[in-house]
Parts: sequence; C-alpha cells; structure tokens
Amino acid sequence: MLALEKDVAEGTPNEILIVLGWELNARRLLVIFPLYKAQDWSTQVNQSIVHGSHLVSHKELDTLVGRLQHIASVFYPSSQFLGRLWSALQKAEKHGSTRSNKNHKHDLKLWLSFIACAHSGVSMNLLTFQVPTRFKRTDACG
Amino acid sequence: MLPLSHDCTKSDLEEGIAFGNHKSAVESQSWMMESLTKEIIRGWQVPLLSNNLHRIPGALVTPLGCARGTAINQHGDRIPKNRLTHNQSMKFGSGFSINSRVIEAQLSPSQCGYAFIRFIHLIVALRLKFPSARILLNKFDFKSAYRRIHNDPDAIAHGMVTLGDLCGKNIALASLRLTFGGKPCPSIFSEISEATCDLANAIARIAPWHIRNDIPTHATVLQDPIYLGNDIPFTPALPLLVDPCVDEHGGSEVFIDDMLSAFLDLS
Repeated sequence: MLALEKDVAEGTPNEILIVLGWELNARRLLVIFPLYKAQDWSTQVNQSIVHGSHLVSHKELDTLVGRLQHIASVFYPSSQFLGRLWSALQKAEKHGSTRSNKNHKHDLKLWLSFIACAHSGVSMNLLTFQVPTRFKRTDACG
Repeated sequence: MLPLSHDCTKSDLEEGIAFGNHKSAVESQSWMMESLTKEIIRGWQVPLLSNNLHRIPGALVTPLGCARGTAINQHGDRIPKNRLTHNQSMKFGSGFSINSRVIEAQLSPSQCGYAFIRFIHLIVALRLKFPSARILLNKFDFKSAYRRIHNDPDAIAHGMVTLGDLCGKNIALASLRLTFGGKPCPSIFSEISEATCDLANAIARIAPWHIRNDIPTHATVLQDPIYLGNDIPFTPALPLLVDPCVDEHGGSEVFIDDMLSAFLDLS
C-alpha cells in the first residue's frame, strides 16, 4: 500500500518537509515557497510583463493566475492584487484570449516581490488563529 | 448523477469517439500506451471494441490527457513524471459534462481543503506546548491510491476512453478504478484515507503500546531522523485561539492520499 521509494525520501523524520508544494520548517516555524518554483514562476511572470499589451491566451492566463492563487493561499496580503488578473481571466475565458493592460503589468511587477517574500518564508504564527492582543469595536453607523 | 436524455447520450458518445484524446496524450503516445497496457494487465481497465460502445446503456467517452509534473525519488530528488488524466469536465453537444452532472449533495464532505492549515496549527500547538523540543515531520502516500478503489458501475459507463489515435486500433477502455479527473473521486478516496488517518491518531495513543516492541512493518525502510544544526534557535509559537488538543504523541493529517505527521523528537 505504501509508495516505498517515496517513503524513503519523505517518510524519514525531518525538521523540514515539502507539503502540498510548500516547504515547512518546524524549527523556525516557517512556510517557504521552494526555490525551484520561485525561479520558474518568476520567469513566467517576467515573460508576461515583457509581452506587455500582447494578446494573452486563456490557457496561459489560467496557468499564471492558478499559480499566483497558490501563493496567495498562504501569503494572504498578496490576494488583494489578484482581482484585476481574475477579471482578465474571466474575459479570456469568454473570448479565448485577452489583452493585458498597464494595471495588469503593475500588478505582475508587484507579484515578483510577493514571490520573493514567499520564498523567504511566511511565519506559521501568521497563518494560525491567534488570541487577539487588542480588541476594537466599531459601529457602521459611525 | 443527474440523468441525460437518450438522444443527448447518443450524440455525446458519437462526438466523444470522433474527438478522440487530447494533444497532450497523443504527444506522449508511447508512454500512454505503456501505462494503459499495464493498467489492462493489472485489471484496472477493461478493453472493449469502440464501435460497440453504443450497445452499453449510458455509455459516454471522455478524452484522455497527459499531465506533466514531477515526482520524488528515494534520494529526495525531483524527477519528471507523467500522469494519465480523464477529462470528465469536457462538454460535448448536450452542454453537460460528466462532472457537471454529479450531484454534490450526495458526496461525503471532504475535509482535505483544510488539511494544510490544520497541519500548521498542529505544528504551532506542539511548539507552544513543548517549546524546547524538536518537532519532526514526515509524509507518506498510498501507492496507486485511486487504482485501489472500485469505480461505480454508472461511472464506468460514463467515463470510457478510446485509443484510436493512440494505437490506431478500434479499442476503448472502461475504467474499473477511480479516475484522475472525476469530480466525486477525491471525496470517495477521502472516506477511506480520513478514516485511516483517524485510526493512525488513535493507535498512537493506545496504551500500553511500546514502539520498541511493536515495530511497524515499514519501520526498516525509514532512515535516521534528519536534524537542523543546533545553532538554529527554536522560534517561539504565539498563543492559539483554537485548541488542537495536542499531546506528546503529535498527530497526523491527511490530504486525499498524502498522510502528514508532526511529532516530537523523543530520542
């Protein structure tokens, strides 16, 4: 029942383990985006920036947005900057392709730094539900 | 599954046979045929004549694809690996794919979507409770996981594939095992793997259970633990709002067929 070849590599107890595409460091409590992925995905983002206002196919954009969504699922602040790319993907789905604009380019440039941040590691403490240190209560009516 | 009219089924079957398989599968023809031959020999796929598929009630054909990814070898190196996929989200003339007809409400809710975040909570909770202990992680997965589960008879008829563009012969295959691409399959497999994970967590807490006497069958495969340098300090954990109820036995989580464990180094 066990995949023994993999078990030798991944079953050996280790303080570092790759889980679902993320490297977990149990000593430093870090979730790290692996180097080989960071390099590969940064190259793809760079290519999308260089292409500028060229037509982007739905398949190409779908892969890109899917990859960035993977990072956003752990590096939460970055998800704020996926909205315009999601809209572009919806357009591309309808028409088969879409033209990327200046805003997409700006977002992608920012995404290069998000990929670098994710590679340097996100603290596990930021990914858990913690006891709040401060409470603030507001009223929508002002 | 939601029913499909006889006429729609007939037209979708004809379109599916005419469409054949995806470019990714045709481009990896030799690997695909080798993989499918192995599946036939092991009884995971049944070969049929593709011009007789219309005689099977509810028969539908889906395109095969080949997903290129990576796997890990015994040295921990990443190596290229192809994966055979059934595109059951493909829509033909009826406008309904096989996956779109699946009644989600009848599937068991799968908890795997939260597995990663639960695992992170487990690690943080262990550090919080045992601040100066090393936490070790490991992972194992079920070999040929989806191939070990029998497919539903209706799903077998709905998810057949043709091999005309792969081997030039009039052959179709019926998948007796779960397919990579079938919407219900993660839920079906999770019913087994989540129960296995619960059992693993329970067994670890059975007292008296002496690991040195009752050695797990695969223990000899495992190597000595790998530690980071002692110069790297233990990062402290911040208090959690939730209580994952950790103890010195650690715990396991499961993501479909990946079993993840975090436990204390008691050596």
